[in-house]
Amino acid sequence: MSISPDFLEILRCPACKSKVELKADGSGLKCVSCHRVYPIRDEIPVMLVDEATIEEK
Amino acid sequence: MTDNQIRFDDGATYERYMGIWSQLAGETFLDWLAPNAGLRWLDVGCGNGAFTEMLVERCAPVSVQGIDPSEGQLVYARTRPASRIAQFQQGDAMALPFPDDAFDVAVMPLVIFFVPEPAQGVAEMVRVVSPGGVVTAYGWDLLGGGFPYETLLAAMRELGMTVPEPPNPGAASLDTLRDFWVAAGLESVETREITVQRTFADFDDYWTTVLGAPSVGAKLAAMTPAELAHLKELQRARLPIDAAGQITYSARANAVKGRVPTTH
Repeated sequence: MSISPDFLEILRCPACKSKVELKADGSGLKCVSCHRVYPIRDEIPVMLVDEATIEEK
Repeated sequence: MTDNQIRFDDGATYERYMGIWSQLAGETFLDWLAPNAGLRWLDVGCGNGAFTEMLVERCAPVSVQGIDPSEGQLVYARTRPASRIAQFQQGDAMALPFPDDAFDVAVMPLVIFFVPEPAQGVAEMVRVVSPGGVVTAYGWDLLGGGFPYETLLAAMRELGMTVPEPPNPGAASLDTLRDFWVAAGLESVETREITVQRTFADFDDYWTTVLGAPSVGAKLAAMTPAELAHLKELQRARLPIDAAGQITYSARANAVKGRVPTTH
């Protein structure tokens, strides 16, 4: 998994513009506010609202 | 999704069909923009990274983010040398995955007519560019006949075929670009035309390039051999083929740039 901390710093949830965090298993980026999870495919974050799933805590 | 929707999933084929034209337009565009070195760039609709590569080569950016809705294009973009600096993710021009004021320049290279709501795309670029930064775009003058394969499209229309169109073909007209930029509250708005020229080695070079088009290639592949031969002849008759068999012709794009107000 090659997502750097600097990169995460500039990414935001496209829906609510809150910060996102890398999931522990590296499979996606989770919005700290609205809990949408954006998948990471072939090391490319898929920052599309339509592709996100909402994951409760 | 309908058959007439234009999608780009094969980066390498797209490079030959459109990437070379994009490169030519991009170089003229960057000469005009004349950006400083060391800026933070956002490339909206970076596609296969042709323009991103040019940014990295020519503008000495401190960082580049490229976003595009097409996964296939991004996979190709990530193989480019530019990816040592540029980072790519799938994203939507109308809902950018970035905070406010994160960039010095946001650019839409040959993209604005693909954005379903261009005004929303421009508003998003204004949001993520810091005060004093630049929001800019250039796009083929589709309605003005500036598209690089206008001869092909005209021949297809003549044969009664439906030609794939982006959702907003008029978005890159000169006046429309200016209107979008002024309406978004940008200052010192300037526009210009960009004319570029490309040479194909011969008609076959042109034709095989066209057959690889992501937009019309599938339609051409679905034609009967007789229809295809007719279409070919229509173009052979109209393209400027010189004594050596080479084909040289121009395409035209329009460009716009404006500054984010320092009080926004």
